[in-house]
Amino acid sequence: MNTSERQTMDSTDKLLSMTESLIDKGGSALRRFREEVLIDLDGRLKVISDKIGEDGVDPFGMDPECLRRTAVAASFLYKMYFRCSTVGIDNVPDGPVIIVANHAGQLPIDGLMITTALIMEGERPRLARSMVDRWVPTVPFISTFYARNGVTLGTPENALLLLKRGEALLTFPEGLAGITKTVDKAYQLQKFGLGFMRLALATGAPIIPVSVLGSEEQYPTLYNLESLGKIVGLPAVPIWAQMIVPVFGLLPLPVKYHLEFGEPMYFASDDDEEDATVSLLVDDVRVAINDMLEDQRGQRRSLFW
Amino acid sequence: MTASHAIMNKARAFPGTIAISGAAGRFGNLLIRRLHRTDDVVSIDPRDFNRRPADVTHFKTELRRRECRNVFRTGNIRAVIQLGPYHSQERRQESSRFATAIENFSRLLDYCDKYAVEKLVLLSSANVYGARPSNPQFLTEEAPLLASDLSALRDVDMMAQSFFWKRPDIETVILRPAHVTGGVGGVMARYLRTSPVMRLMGFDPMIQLIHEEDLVQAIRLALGPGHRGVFNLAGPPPLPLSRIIERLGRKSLPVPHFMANRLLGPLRRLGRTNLDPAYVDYLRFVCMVEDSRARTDFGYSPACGTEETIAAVDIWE
Repeated sequence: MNTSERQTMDSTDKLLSMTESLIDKGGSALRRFREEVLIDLDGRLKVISDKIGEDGVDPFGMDPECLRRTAVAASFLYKMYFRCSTVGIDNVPDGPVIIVANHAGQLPIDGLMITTALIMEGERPRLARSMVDRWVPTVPFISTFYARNGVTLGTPENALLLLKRGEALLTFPEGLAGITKTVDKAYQLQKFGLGFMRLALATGAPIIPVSVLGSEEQYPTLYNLESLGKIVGLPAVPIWAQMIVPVFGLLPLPVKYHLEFGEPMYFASDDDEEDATVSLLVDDVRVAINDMLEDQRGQRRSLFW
Repeated sequence: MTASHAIMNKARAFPGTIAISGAAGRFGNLLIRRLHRTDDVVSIDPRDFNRRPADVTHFKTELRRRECRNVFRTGNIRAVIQLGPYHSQERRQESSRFATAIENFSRLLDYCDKYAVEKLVLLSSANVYGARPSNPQFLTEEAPLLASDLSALRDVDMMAQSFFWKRPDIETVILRPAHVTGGVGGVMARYLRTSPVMRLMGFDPMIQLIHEEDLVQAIRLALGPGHRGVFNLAGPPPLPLSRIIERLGRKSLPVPHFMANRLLGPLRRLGRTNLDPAYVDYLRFVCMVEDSRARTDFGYSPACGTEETIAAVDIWE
């Protein structure tokens, strides 16, 4: 055996043992996930499903059975795939509350991660009711899937009713403009809608600003084919970097997510003030989110850990 | 009669004579049977009404006919219950059906105006709000009426609303119940009776049902003094359409929503469905109502639970 052959053998051995240890690590991580996370999750979901009547769905169509299946998948993404690190979850009070976050990443994984954090991390698990745009109910399957998992159309009537029931709302006031951003606009907060602030003023519910770091990089989007979107009836048709890899390119990059729940913000004013006045208050929330986001970005060492 | 309605109402619902317009239909028949023991009731309907109780006088006439004016001129009628816009069984063209319905109802408003009627109850429907993607989960009475194809129903509802302002001294009540189940011919009840039940693939809206006996009770309560205005009515808590179909022990036949209108014709001919094309959107988007006004104003509360209300779909003679 000459030297070069021996070197090849050595490197193959190394590669094999590395793969083995990786599989081992992965296997034990999965076992731990099953043993620790899923059992805990069942108990936490029971707190939520106990509030549902005997008919098995709440008036908005949320079904604890469907929620459980989604939560299992979501907790895998939360713990294993995006390895979410969450701080400040104890800032979320009981009772009616409006959670406001920055929006990015083409698919609303940020919403899923915030919802999962509220179920899995808080002392008392809560189901955040995400508020979605009015095109969502027109999409088959997605509309039903959303409704079964507690996602609700974001009309003022729905929001008021949910807050009256003491629930937690999750809104992304940047809307589509935020989630469809391309990489050149990463971490530039878009214009915030005013609806959530009017709700807070009308109900006195506190606002929890949340910053999400990581979502911007899951689908680094180079271009958005808006004109094609108009033809096929989709709000956006993004072209993202990993698309060059077949099949796997559809998956988001396994970036590390950092969530920070800020302190409750209380606002008192007339909820029928003119837009200019309300947008000043909205700016307070926007600045709070932006500050947290900048802090997190400064502390981040790498995209992936 | 269902168990929850075993306790019959013994008190009069209304002190004077009540005319029920459209009484020869299935729901009219039920309403008259529940009212005639305590109240003086007469029936007005262009259809024959042979199965009416013996003490009820039937006037076989359309509202717009001269005979009907005589009923109001001499009949001492103090309350009118109008059950929906259509009562004729004649097969007419849609446009002339519409015109007839509007003409009939405007004539009825005219009689109320002239002949000392004190109470007008219109049985409209929650469907007048329209099933739309932007609907909030529960619509209040203030929501705009956006149903586009239900023909005279929405217009009749609006005519009653303007009559409310024209004669504030007459107690006008508009009831907008959710889908009615029971032996009545409600759109949703008829639709749910076919098997398999046609559904739209990927859509499963929440549906509110109300038992016919609960609706009778609501009308009885609305006849009481002092109640006026528009009232939504719903039964037990809503359920997804698929659950209702499951609980009825039926199978669903999912069709793609963009083909539903085209498939309806053939499916109807095959007897696979009896859904009116105007109601396809009600299988796609929510159209549910908030009924707290009826609960607080005249004490409405549905007596029939979820099981009973769903099972009532199969009451059909």
